[in-house]
Amino acid sequence: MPYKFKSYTASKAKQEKRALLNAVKFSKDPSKAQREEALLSQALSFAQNSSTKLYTIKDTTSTLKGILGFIALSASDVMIEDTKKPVVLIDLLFVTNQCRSTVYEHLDNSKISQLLLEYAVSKFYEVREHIGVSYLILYPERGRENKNLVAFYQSMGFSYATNKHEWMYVKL
Amino acid sequence: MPFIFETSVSLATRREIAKDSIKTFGKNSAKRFSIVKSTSITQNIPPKQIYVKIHLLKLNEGFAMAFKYENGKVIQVSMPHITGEDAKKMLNAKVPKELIKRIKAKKFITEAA
Repeated sequence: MPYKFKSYTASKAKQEKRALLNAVKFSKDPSKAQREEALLSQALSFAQNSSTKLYTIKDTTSTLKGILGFIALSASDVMIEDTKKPVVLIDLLFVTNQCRSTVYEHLDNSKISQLLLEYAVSKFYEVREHIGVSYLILYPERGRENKNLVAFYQSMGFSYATNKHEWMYVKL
Repeated sequence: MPFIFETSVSLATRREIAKDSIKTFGKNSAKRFSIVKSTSITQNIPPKQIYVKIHLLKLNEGFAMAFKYENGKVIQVSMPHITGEDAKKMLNAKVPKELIKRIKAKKFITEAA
């Protein structure tokens, strides 16, 4: 496998918070960078108290150095009519700035975001072996105005839950 | 996110909003929603419209696990209650079988940090 994932316990997330924040590059646009750092920092704080589970992805061929991205997953639920449905929630999907929008031939001809999302789906099925869950859900950053991001999630099978809100889901 | 009140908003309306805010978000909601008085931006907006706007803001704020960045702060975002046609669509959604088959065929390696 040309890439591998690393999972962080709450204590590891605490110990390595600063190093993890420094390990990735944020957008060159200062306001976007500020937003991205705040969101990643929030995910790391959640990981420290086990409110989310944090994973990183690395290239094992060393073609690409360092941490390429993060994904943070947690359990939640959604009310559909009068029924509460358990879901796996993607709290954060983050790709280091220099790797965004690039398809890597040596990484299964995939983008980093695609690998992270596929990993989330695989984790969903691992969870489902033990606990009932129905949907994988996420909230695209900046919502519908972020057209490229929304198109990417739609290409991965996600749909909008309603026309009024930004939440997207995929039934698995 | 601050609520912007027009000076002409009555005390009764403010109380109603405050009560509703506490009911929805708990006693600490005042910390989350600092209430400030009028600015020129809102001078021409009738109080009722402001009230509606506040309600819309509440719907976009949230309780649950995910979060978004807005006005320099990270805020959590709640899942909406899905009803009607949206609920039917979600319950009857098709599973993307090809995608799942492809992902299940991959052997992801995970190691502990």
